[in-house]
Amino acid sequence: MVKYIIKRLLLSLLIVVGVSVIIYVLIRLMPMDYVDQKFQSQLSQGTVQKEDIERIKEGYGLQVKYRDYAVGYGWIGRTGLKYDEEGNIVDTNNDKSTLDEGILIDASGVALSEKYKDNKSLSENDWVQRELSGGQEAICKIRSFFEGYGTWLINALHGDFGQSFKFGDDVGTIIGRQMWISFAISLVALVLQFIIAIPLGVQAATHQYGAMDYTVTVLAMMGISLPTFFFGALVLGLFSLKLGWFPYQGLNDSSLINPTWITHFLDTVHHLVLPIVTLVILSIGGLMRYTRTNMLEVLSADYIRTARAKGCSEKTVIYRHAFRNTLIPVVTMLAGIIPSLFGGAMITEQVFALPGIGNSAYQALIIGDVPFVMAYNLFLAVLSVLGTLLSDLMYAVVDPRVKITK
Amino acid sequence: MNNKKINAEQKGEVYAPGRVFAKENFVELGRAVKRTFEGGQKDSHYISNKESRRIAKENMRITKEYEKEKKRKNVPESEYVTKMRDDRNIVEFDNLHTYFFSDAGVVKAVNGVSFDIPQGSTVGVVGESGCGKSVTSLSLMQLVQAPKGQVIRGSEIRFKSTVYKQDENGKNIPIYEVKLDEYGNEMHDENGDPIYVTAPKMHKGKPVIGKDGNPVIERVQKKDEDGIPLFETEEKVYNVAKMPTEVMRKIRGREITMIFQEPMTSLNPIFTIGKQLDEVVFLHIPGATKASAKARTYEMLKMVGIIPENVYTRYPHELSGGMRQRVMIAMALLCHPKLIIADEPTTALDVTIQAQILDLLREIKKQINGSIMLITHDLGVIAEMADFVVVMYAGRIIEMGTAKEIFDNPLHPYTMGLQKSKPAVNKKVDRLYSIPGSVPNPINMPNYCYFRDRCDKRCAKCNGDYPEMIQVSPTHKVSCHLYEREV
Repeated sequence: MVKYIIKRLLLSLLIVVGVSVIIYVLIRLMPMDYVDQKFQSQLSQGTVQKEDIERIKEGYGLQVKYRDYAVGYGWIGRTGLKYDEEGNIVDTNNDKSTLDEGILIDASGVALSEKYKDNKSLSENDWVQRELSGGQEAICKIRSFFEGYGTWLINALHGDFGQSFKFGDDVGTIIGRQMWISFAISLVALVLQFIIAIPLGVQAATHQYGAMDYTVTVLAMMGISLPTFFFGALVLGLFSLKLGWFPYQGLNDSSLINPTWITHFLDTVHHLVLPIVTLVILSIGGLMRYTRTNMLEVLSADYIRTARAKGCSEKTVIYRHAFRNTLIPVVTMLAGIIPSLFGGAMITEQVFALPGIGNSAYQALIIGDVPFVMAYNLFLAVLSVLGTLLSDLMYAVVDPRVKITK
Repeated sequence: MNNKKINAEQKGEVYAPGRVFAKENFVELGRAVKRTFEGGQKDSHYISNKESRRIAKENMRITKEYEKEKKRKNVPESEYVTKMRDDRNIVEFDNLHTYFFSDAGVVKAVNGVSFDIPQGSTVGVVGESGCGKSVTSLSLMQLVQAPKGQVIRGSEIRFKSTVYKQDENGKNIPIYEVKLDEYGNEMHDENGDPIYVTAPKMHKGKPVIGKDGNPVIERVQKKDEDGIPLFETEEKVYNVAKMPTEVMRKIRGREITMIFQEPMTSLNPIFTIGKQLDEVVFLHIPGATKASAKARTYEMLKMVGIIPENVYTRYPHELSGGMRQRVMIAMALLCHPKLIIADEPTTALDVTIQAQILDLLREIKKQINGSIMLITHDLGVIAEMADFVVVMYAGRIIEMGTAKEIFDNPLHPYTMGLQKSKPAVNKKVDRLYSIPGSVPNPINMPNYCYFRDRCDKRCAKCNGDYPEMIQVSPTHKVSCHLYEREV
């Protein structure tokens, strides 16, 4: 058992590293990075030069150094450089500053500064990028990603996930702070979801093709099909704007001055009713259908007939003999639930403007906040991996046929 | 190409590229299609969507009515208490009809079956797959797959039940221990009333002190050897076909128990064997404690030849098929049932285990003094085990009698066919006999002998109505035109 867990944890490490590579590459492949987005207007107004942006990007670690790489690989020529017999650059000063000397020239020997002198908005880096072929550009990008990822990984292994570009704070602190808000919301929603969905699913299965079954199924399908933002907006429109029963955003009312903890708590609850209702209604459907299908399958099993033949009441048959067998596959859902518990509900939090981690992640993702997105997704990956491990262990607890060895 | 077409038409055929059809075939197909769309019932294998929907709607109405009746609460007992025709019987099936309301039409799985199970006997029910043997037994247990399967009104299944007597508060009446004199006879006082054994009332190991400061003295309830307290019982005859499920539950698993065909899947995989067996004791024996239930379970496991310590805490998947079937038999025995229904108990087991299980069943029958209803398609098993044999075909009984009569003097051509198709050691045959053809479509059965089209003794009379049951000897009955006495 212990051996199995250790083995799984080691394997998980590999998975997490793999996930982090993919996420890093994906976020760096976004067409507009953080600096581009932030200085877009200043650049068009001319208050910031392209050269400045290159410098800022370098500071954020977002720049692809086409010029340095290309010259280093010998794809772009440069006057005033010394070459040895094999055509390699001889680094006379033994430092990279040599790369800045001389003038960049293309294959036919024309200076790039001459070639692009009409296009003032381009930096030296951009000249080089335009000169490169598709393959060469890709190689430069990949090298840049690897260097960036390497730096991130080394820092991360030291426990430093960097500072969020957008929020300025240390990423770990932000996640630690906002996680609990999301966790509280998700936990309440999850408990409600289970309390409502599982009995409904059982009822639907035991009254198959009855009025109850059809009603529940239709409601579940509606829940599954409605998008969160739409349903959330609908609920907001009806209950906060039209009827005014609930506040429409945030976690607390700003008008509360020096509240006691009880009024503060009640105010928070009041704010959270709509988001939780939205979450619950939209997620009931899936679990309910799942329970219904499993229950139906179990109810047609031979051992259920045996239980009836023993003289068990219908209640005992369903809730004692069938229910635990139904739960076995539901346990697998644990794997999916744990990350969503801590990871927050991105869209719901966005719609209701809740300061949860999902909301922050959404904003960070839009603006290309590399450290935050990396840390957030890594956090989710770790939770997913742990969730899977936990659900596998739970399997052995629930189903005596499953034995964990090795 | 045109030439071919013209040629074909001249010959009365329809030209279709790659294939030549006779024109009549097309006409016939057209008729069939037309019939189907018109919703006609001429060919029961074809059913239109419209027709199917109509049937489903009708079925829903009927089954709902039946289900409602079964789920009623507080039904007056007089509705389902009857009398036995013959007091020596334990079960009497009287004109049992069990139908399945399927979307393709009504399947008459059991269609007017009447036979008795005498006390202490083994009745074998034989027939090929789908002839209604299992449905007959499930009807007795009220376990027919609802809501589609229903026992039809007018059917009667009488069962002689022993129920706990209840006082006016609906509580079971305990039997108290009576003082015995030196000869082991019960002692009576001068009024002739029995003198009861008394003891201080105990609560959690301490005597209960009454208002007057003295320990409360009460009568001691009689207990059996497992320490299970006894209650007064009385005999009642129930009509199972009319009984609400609520009452039936008290009979299932206590007085009528069932051993199923599939031992591999008939035990709940997530409970230990002990838990599943104890459950039956808790369900049916009032006053059973954990220790007494375990004692009873151990006793029964021993009876079926299992060392109880080895399996009590095991899960079903840790046992072999034969062991599981033994456990199922132990489960069936727990409450000393009057009738054990064994629904093909050996079909899923390999041959050596089959023999062991059959031996076990025979052994147990001697010990419990109950009856066995043995359902099988294996004539060899029936020959070994049964006192009486009922042969079923397509939902009806075609022949019944004592085992001797059926085996020495089979009358119905189907029974003869079954006998012939059984492999025998001392007979030399090139090829094992098999009855030609197959069971007719169970929907919309015609009103003539269902076996007619497969029968090798078919005569002119067979085109007439379904044959009546003919009494050949006091115990032997057959339903075949061949034995009708000339009038």
